[in-house]
Amino acid sequence: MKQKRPIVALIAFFSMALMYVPSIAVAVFSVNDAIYGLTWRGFTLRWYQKLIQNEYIIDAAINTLFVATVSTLIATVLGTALALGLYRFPWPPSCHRLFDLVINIPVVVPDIIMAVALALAFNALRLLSKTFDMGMVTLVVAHVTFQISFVALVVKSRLESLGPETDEAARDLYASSFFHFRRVTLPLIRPGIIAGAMLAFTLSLDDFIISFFNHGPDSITLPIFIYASIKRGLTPEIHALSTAVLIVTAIPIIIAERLTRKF
Amino acid sequence: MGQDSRPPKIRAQETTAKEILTQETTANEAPARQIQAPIVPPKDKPSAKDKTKTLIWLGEFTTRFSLRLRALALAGPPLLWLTLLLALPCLLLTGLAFTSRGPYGEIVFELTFDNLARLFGRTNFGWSPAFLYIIARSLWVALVTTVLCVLLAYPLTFHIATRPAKKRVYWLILLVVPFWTNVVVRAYAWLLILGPQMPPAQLSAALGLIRDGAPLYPGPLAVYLGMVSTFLPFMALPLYTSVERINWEILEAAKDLYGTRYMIFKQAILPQTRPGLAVGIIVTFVPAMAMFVVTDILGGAKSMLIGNLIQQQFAQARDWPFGAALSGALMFMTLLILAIFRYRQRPGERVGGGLFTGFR
Amino acid sequence: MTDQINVGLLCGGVSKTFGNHKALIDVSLSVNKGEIVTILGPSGCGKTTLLRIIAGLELPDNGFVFLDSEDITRVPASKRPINTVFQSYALFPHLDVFSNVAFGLQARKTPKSDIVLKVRNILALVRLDGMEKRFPHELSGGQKQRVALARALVNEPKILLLDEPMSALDAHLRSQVQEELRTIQKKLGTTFILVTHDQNEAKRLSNHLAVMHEGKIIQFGTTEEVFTKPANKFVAEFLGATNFIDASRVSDTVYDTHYGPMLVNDKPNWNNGKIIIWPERIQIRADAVPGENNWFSGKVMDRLFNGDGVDILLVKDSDDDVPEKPILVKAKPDFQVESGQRLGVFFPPEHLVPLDKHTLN
Repeated sequence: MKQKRPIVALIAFFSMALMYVPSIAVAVFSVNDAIYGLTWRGFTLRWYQKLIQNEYIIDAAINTLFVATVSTLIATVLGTALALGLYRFPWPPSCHRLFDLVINIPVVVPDIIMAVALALAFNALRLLSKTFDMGMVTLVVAHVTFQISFVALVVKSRLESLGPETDEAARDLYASSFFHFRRVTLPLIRPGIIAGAMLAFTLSLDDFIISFFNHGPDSITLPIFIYASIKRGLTPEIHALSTAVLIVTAIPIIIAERLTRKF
Repeated sequence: MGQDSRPPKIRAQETTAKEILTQETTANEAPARQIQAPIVPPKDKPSAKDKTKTLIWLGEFTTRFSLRLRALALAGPPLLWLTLLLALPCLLLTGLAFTSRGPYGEIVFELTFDNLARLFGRTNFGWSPAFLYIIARSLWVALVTTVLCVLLAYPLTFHIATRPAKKRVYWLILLVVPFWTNVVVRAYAWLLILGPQMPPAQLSAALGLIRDGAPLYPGPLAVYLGMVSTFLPFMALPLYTSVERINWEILEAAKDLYGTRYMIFKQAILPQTRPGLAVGIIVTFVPAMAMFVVTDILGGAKSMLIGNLIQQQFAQARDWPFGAALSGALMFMTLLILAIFRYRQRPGERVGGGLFTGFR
Repeated sequence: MTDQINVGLLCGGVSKTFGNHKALIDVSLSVNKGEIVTILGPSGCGKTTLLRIIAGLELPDNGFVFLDSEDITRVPASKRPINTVFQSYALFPHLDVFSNVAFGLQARKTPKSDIVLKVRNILALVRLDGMEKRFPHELSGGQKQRVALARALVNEPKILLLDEPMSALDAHLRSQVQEELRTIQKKLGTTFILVTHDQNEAKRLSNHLAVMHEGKIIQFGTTEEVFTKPANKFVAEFLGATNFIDASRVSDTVYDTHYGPMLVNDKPNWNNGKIIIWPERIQIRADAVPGENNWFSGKVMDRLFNGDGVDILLVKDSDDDVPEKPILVKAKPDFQVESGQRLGVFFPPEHLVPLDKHTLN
């Protein structure tokens, strides 16, 4: 198709290296048999063993998974409903531009601003009820807030790839509203819903800034833990932890990739 | 059912038609071979502005009202959530910027422009542009990062686009995975790589660029390495969606027409990749501008960006009003960038559209 | 006129406007049970809109639709015993062939055993047996169409609507599919209403034809009627007529044309106008026979082989070389002529069709 210029390939490989070197470095050091220093001393898995025995880490891991799961569930429902409500009904075209704007705001706004705004919101809500003290609740609520848009966008994209003909065909074939929704609409957007959920889950697992501003002492997540460790002093356990985190977050991504390519 | 309310019988119609056909047409009115409209049975014409005006939507026979109701039932709760927890707080934040911090850390609800003034450099000791420097530095770092990412992303995406289809899938998966790597992990990884006993630092020391035994951080090199390695996927993925659609023939034609590579790029590549490039730039520049983690871990005090400053206000300094003012400034810059690019395809569309990009 | 016949479909005074565009203007149509009706017209003439209104996917602004004497104008599509084969087939991508076809039956809560039987039968009818487990993305265009057809017909609708059924098919498949459609229709006796812009389909498939233009039905009748006697120039051109002859009245039966005076059986209602003659109806003899009615001497301009016959372009043989539009004659493949050759050309009076003066175009 095109002539292959070696320099293009070179830069391509260099770029890939640039992106992967950090992760590979962490992985390598996670199996390095050395407590301090960065010289290679031999292969070992003992840091992973220590990992599992570390209470704080296990706590943080449980928190992270819990928050991710709960927030994903809530955000998937809300996000799907949002996409359906906005894009499956006849709104005037001016409304559509407004919707696009609203849905895209959390995606474009820098996360630090969202983190701050959410912290502010919780401070205000705390006046109403104590459940809004910084803790699990605020963490989950914060995560849901930024996840909704992403789920909605994925589902919206799926909705838009389905034309009106499939719906009309269903009606032409005697489908009632319920039958139509259950047998046509839902199955067709299901890949989008799952992809959106995977996306939301990963975003939650990876989130640092928003969690950092909106967590409580009993709701530390892994990214926060790792960050604190950097300040305290890095240990090989942390490398093991990071490597584990990397591997675990890769799984939903690959699933979601598969799903968004199907139809 | 009376006789006259039944539709006219078909025989009658045929007869009428035949009569017309064989008749001598004298006047110029009725064209010869056309079905006459049968007598319309009396029907109630629906009133124009009926609230229950029916329509057909996606094949369903319903009213606009019912549809609106359903739509609101679905979209209402999420919109409410977003309003309460995002839109309103942002407004509050803007308002907060005009308050000030009291002696005990509480908020004094009096309208004041002190925070803005402070932002622009007014202090108790005269004009100090420290904060302006930070803002400028944030923009500069974001700019450099973006430019570096563009320079690397073009060859990268071109390379992928010219791979045979099977291999391309692997490249794309490889491109997507780092995207999802935790920022904190990626940033601190550079601490390891640039550590004093590692090759890069040792080499630099040997070349006399740095002190013996010193790490290559904190400093601009570390920061930019961290930034570029973090943001390269952000730039490459949207750009790729444009690059994969390039019409290679135009490129070939340009090679014939233009001598310099610059011209070829400008005339053949840039126009075709503009949408992806625009999205990539927005998705890189805006978060880079607001970056906190990378500069916090890899940069020193001299590398403070606005994100770090904001975090400081909310953590150590406990100066929420000033922090709000800073956030407002950041928000303003964000909107400015967006307005400059005036993107037609919303960056969010990249999310979930086939190539499954998203970002953090 | 005393018998009450079940009309089948009856549309009266149907109008539909989309924004500024008048898609349908006071359209009336009646279709009997068991007929195959083609609605023919260029893009944008409103034929698809009419089809959708019949299907129940659009609501007419004015007018009514009756089916078997029942007013179905405001009956939703899901309650009309009418099924559609969409132009893009609109198969459900997440369902296999069997489930696609069974959809309508399931929607109406047909017992499972009945469903299996009916689906199997209809798939056999459209010659797709064995494909039940396949998915739409694994099928060819022709196969998808048959699934769409089966999916509609399995519900035994009173009317089957087809939107441009041949447009997505390769040329060589078209005649085959047309034949199959005819066979199926004969077997099931369902009323078919097709919409197309291809006049060949109209010719081959249907027994009734409606020609539409800019939201109105210009002509309606049996296919034969419409083809042999098009109402006006637009219809004639759309059906593929090319031999338009200016004529002026000399007497009640004789009209003067460029090719000489012609006897015309079908008397026009004007003094000056256009007459057409179909290329297949013109007769040629290698030797000229001057003096007889409706003969003239022609000179061959070109001979083109055209698949299953020859197209001969000829002009009137006269001394002055005035450029004129040639007459197209269709002949059998073995008819040999050469450019420049002189022929005797005969326009049979019964095949000279005057076009109405008082219509569009």
